[in-house]
Amino acid sequence: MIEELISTDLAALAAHDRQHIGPLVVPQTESEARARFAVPWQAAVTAVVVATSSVVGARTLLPSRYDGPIWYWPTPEPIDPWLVGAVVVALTALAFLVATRIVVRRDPASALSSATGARWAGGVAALLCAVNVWLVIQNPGNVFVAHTWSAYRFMQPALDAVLVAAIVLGAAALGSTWRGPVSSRTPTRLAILLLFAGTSLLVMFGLMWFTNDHWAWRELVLPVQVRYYDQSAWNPQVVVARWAIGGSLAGVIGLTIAIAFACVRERTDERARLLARLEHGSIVPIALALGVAAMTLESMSESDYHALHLGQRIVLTALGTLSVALLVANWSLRQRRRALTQTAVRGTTKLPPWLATAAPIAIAFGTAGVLLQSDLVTFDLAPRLAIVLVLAVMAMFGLAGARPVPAGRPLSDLLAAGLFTAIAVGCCALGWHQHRTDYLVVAGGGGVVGPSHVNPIVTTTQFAVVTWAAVLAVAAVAARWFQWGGGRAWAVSAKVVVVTVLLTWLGLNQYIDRWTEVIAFHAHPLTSHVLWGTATVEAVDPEALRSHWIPAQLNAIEAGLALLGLAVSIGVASSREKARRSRWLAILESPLTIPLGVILATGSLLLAAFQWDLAQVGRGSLDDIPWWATWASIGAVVAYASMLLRRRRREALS
Amino acid sequence: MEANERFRGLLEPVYPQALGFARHLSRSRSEGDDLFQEALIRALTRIETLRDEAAFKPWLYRIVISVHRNRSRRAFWRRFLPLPDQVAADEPSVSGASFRASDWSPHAAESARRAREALASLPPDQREAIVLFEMEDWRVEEIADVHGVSASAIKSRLARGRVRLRAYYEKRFGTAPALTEELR
Repeated sequence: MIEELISTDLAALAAHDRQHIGPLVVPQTESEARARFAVPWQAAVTAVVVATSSVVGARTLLPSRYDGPIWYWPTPEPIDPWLVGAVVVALTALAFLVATRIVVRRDPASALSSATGARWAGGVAALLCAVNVWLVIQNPGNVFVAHTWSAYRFMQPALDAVLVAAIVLGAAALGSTWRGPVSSRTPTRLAILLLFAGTSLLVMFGLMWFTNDHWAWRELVLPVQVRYYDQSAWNPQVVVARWAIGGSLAGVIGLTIAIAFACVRERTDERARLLARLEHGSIVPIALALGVAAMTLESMSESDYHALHLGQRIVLTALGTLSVALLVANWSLRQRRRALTQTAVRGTTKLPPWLATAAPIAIAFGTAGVLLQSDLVTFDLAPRLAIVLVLAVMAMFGLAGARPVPAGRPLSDLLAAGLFTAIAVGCCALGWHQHRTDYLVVAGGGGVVGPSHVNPIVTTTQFAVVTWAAVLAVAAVAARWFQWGGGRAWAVSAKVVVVTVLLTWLGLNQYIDRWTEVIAFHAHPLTSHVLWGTATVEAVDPEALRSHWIPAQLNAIEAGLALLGLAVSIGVASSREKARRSRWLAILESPLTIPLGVILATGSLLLAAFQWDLAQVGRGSLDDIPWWATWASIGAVVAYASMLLRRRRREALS
Repeated sequence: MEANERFRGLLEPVYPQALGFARHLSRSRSEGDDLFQEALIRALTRIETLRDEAAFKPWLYRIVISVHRNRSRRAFWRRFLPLPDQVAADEPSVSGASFRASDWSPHAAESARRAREALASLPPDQREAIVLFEMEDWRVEEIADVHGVSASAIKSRLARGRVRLRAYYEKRFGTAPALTEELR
């Protein structure tokens, strides 16, 4: 009986779907049709929002070393860290949801890279915020300098890692979405991009000041010479800070308006497509459909609205759209429950869809917790391990086929990676040459903090921010103007290059001078400040530290060269793979490669985490941690490359 | 333009069936139209790689299936961000059906909607097999060829799909009297 009903229903559906098939209209050329899909500055907004929220979330909760008994900032009392934590977590979550909402609304594949990037960046930002909250819980009020220092010791490399992750993801999002011919609107779009880049920086500075994180503020903006200023005198810092706060507010307002505008355009496009279908039949060239989007809502006639049915008839006011943009979590309780409980019956995977997003974050949380418990020094000495962790998780989920990784635009990826490399190398060289070595010495009944380099110009934080801004702007412009219709073979290589550059950069940026071993070094005392106590303490010789850390940086370079070689070999093999399949690619695409790579990465990561304990029993030293990080990087990137290649093969076969 | 003309020549004979297939696979006719449009763009860009023009139909279906799979993967994110009334409004109105629907009885519309929901509850591979076999009257070997799998794999998908469909209907109607009433 049921079979009979099923047959009847299927026949009805077949008849239903074969009705009203309009005239055949062949789409325009691919470039013309697809170019109009992208809304470039939406991706720019996404990238900036996610990157900014990551940075702000990280920096505002950074426990300051100066929050001790002696104060140098006008604020007499520290702001409640719980309040700051709650605000930052909420802001980050909001920014992430808004960004995802905007980008994913663009159904075409062009926006999916942005969505994926936003998702991962949001996950990393959420992870960082959680770690921050955890640190605040551990150090209420940041009263004890020693505890704060311990927290800071962990945070600095992790912050750098997150910052760079946001840069890369943002650039990838821009590169994969920013397309289409140059038009009269280009200057406007660029202006918007620059506006958001500038305002996001202002937001960041403002929040730093607001949350009393004057250490980061000082390091980013102020010259060192006026660092310890007299509160009674006129202070340029305060003036600048006020401007920063005003700029921040303007930035937030501008961002909100831009999001609202994006929503309006989104809805207009959707309506236009529906309208075009009615006018021109079922199959309408995309260019034609979106061409109708030039019509404003007001110019549509009443009959158009009638045709668009009751549900589409409501004209969105600006205020209404603003509420849509802000009320990001406005789906119904039923929808939410279904999303959390229903397995992917409509999807191709056997995993519940929410698991694909939640699991990597959960695993990252769990593993980070284990590493934190085992030893805080681990991430400090090898910040690459955080990225390795993310890559390994991505590769494993890629093997399970849980989530797709859409192909980006090859040239834009390459450009982003290449430019990032050049900029990072330049900044690294400059930063390394002129960086400042901060130190803290705790000895007996006293503590001292201060610079051990007399003429600091570029610091780690400043370096990271400058790199971020430069990469964001240059990659966006480059990816916008350079068009390339080549094959997709190099896309995998480009992605590998991006993560390789990221890992190498982090490897080069690891400073042992932020480590407690600083106490063991003694050199001539420089300008320092006594935090508490009166004990005689000594500063650190930065040259000694540098010489101590050079092998670790060489390790990072070696791993980077090996992985760049891997990327080039993949690109060449893919390009040459015309007639028969490359054996090299066959090996890399083997199902065993991902587990082997992940095992190598995980094993190395665990050994790095427990190296402190191993050193206690005479097995190696702390200097071995970067060495383990090298192997972990190689394993993770190989697994990641294998995942991308397998996906590419599957797409090609389908 | 030459490629466009060639594409049009190949597409025209199979256009209604292929569009119908895309619609069957989707949760709504409008979504099916979008799917088919995306598939057409992909096909147009790859038309140069088609060597045997006689194999155009399975080649196009393969692309439709591929696009469908990709879109299915994105379903999770889309569900958070739909235009609220789009899906609900789609069935009767988007293609103009509601305004020219005198030839379409409410009972048949309900029947079609039910079948669409039931198909949407299937995993994509089973849905594709069921649609091609039951609605498009393809042979198992042809379906296997399009999917690049063995005939036994397709038979297995068909069997599992039917079990799921049956379970869906049983859950929906529950009791035999309700089912009898519906059939009447």
